[in-house]
Amino acid sequence: MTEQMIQAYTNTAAILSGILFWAGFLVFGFIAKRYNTVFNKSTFHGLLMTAPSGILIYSMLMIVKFTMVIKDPAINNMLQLTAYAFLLVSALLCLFGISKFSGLLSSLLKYEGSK
Amino acid sequence: MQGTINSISIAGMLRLLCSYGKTGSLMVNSGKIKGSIDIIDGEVTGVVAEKCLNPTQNKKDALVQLLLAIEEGSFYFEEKPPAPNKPLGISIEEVILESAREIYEKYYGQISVKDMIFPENEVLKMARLGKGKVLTMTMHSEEWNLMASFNGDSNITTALENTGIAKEKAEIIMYGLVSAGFVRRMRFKIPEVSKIAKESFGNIGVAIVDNEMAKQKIDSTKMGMKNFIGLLNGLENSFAEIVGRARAKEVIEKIWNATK
Repeated sequence: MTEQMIQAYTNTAAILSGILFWAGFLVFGFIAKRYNTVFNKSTFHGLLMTAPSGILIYSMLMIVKFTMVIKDPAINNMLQLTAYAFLLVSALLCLFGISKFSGLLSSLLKYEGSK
Repeated sequence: MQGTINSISIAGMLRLLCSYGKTGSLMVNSGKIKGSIDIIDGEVTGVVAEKCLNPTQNKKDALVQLLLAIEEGSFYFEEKPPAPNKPLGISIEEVILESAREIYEKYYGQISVKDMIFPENEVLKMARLGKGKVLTMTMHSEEWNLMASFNGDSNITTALENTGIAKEKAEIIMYGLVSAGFVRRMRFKIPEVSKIAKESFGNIGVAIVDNEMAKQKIDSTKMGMKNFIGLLNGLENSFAEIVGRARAKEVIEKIWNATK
């Protein structure tokens, strides 16, 4: 396997993983939204559904980087830096949203009744 | 026909025998109370109280005394025509209510009807009179008001509370009303929804039930049938959001079956 093929494989895997992560978190957000509907308590479902879009932006920027013929390495580096910055912010927001939702879930699991 | 008093009250048995127009003698023996009631074609024709709490010569009072055999003992109905006496003209329903009055006026704390009354989550309603039935009797306001509060919607706890009668007294009156056949149990009773939800979904199930009750402003201790139906609809939607429509239907079915 040539170095070029390995590069193509890793790029494709990174982009696909990004899209799958985004889809996974979106489903998670929908589940949180259901808990919000039932219990009328803040589940941060809005955050859980929007935060992963950073992962999607990361994937899109990576696609742009690898498919467009951009000769200028400075622009390429900028694209890569921006993509990873979106990924990092998105991951942090996802972690925050999940920890909040997890708090609600654990309080429900410990619930013993109103009386 | 024979049985023990803790399976059915003497009052309830006597009413059934009379309403089916039976002929024979109902023997009662609870140790402290012993006697027999002669019935011809559903009419009481003779009463003998060999042992009772308050001996009397009056036949109606003697019958009231025999009906005080509530907590223990046995009865036996001998389907053999008794001595051909004339009917005493006693209204069975009135005597049953009178025996309940006797309990809360004279034997309160000594005779308990707890084992004879329905659980508090049951729903009762006024019974219809059989076709052609004529009823002449005396009722006290508390008895009438309690009977009227059994509207087929509220459970026993709520109905008793609504009358404002002291719970213990109200329970004795209710015993009288049920034994006399004036109120009957509805097909439905309010099941323990939280318990079923917990068995099905754990603590989250309980949280869903409490949350739905809060949303619909339902007090679980005063829940009527209308509230209950509304609660079931709400719960089906809530359960479906969390566990899916099929599983939600399954649990709602379980709750529904518990009402029967």
